[in-house]
Amino acid sequence: MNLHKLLFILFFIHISIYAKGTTAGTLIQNVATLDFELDDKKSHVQSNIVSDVVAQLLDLSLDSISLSPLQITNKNNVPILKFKLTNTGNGNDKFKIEFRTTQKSDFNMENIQIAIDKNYNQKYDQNDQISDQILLKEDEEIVIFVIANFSDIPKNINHSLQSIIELKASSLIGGSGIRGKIYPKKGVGGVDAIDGDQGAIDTAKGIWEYINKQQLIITQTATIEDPYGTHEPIKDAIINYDIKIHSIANKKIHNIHFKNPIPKHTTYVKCSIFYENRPLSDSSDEDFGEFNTKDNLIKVDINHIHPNQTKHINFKVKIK
Amino acid sequence: MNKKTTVLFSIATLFATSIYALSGKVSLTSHSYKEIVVKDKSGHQQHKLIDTKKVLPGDIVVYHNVIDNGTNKSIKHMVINNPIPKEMAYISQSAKCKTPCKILFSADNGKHFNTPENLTILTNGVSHIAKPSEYTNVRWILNKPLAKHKKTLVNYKAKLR
Repeated sequence: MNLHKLLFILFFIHISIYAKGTTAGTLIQNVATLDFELDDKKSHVQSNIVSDVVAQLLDLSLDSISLSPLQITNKNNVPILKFKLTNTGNGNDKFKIEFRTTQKSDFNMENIQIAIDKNYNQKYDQNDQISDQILLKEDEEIVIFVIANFSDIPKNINHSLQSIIELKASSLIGGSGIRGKIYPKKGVGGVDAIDGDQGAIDTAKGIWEYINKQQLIITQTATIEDPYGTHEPIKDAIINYDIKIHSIANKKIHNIHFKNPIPKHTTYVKCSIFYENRPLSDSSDEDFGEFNTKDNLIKVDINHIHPNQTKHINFKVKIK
Repeated sequence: MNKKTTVLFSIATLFATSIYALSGKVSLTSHSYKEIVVKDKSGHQQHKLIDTKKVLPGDIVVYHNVIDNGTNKSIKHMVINNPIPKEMAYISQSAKCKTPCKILFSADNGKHFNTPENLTILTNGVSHIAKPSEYTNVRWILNKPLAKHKKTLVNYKAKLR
């Protein structure tokens, strides 16, 4: 389990702890008794019954559960942004879901749709409903999908530009945004309803990032050293690959995953991966380099490349 | 009215008076108040009790039990038992009494009572000191008699789960 997943699980455990609350409409009754002696005779009386009714607290939690940013590549469809909506109030509530593209966005997506994960499998499929309203029981949570099409992306946009979506969910009983606002008799069973801490509104952001790999220019050169001190491609000769990754983008490019299969008729030379002239380990868990024995390739994850910057990767193979 | 009728009337009157003195004149009245925190003019926080019948999860409710001795004699050996509603969590050290008393608690719906430091609860065969939120009952044992036509008060606070 990676740290990201673990943090999400811990987060939702946290939510579920605080979502518990006595259900709206519950009658809380207190009655006491008194035993005493009067004239040496024991006696017993009971108090009146004090009743308090639990009002409905309108509250919710909305969180992005997608990686951020979610990358749109040239070849794939637009990945779906996912959010988790939880009714953290103490009664059934219907929520309205809306979205807007924030001003910080580099581009706008058109024809965005919102769908509800009706079959609770956290995957958007034909059973899910395109809708902007959802009824949730207390403590119930559901996944919301925000869907866009690749054709909706403006043409000719640059690499690493982002579209930032703000999703907003609000209680349809209340949802004023004002903590403590009371709605007489509007709660379940006719009890009063009250906007909770955030005024029964919550928002969360999801980010799409456009990845144009064509704005990275990769060049590769190879030099050969054979056992005889010459440069012939013969058995046991070592090929040293020098890969240059150059950015012609006008913004910093993030999360570059470089993969290079080991050529046929060669074997990888152990501990030969270098990044910017620094050695990287062959194992997958020590640094951002790896020789993947299963797929017989080398992998280097580059955090970012600045505009007009070049990064160097080197590795060696031996001719069989 | 003949003599026989007079005697019967007198017995009936005495019986009725006795019943009245025992159950009509000694009363126990419960009230609930919501405790809220307000700021005074100097910005200091103050706790106020408001009379409301609407509560929300997390609200603190103060339960008052007023003992009213309306008889012409003092009453003694007073014990007030108050089961804590299961939706409420008792707040530590909140049980009080206006006159000297001993306060005990139960964590098993009133089968056993003890002081907080000696009140244990058995969970999966392991005994531990009960947490205030696990208390099920409060018991006040008043140390002194309550004089005729006097009132006294016991109370506790609990938080709505």
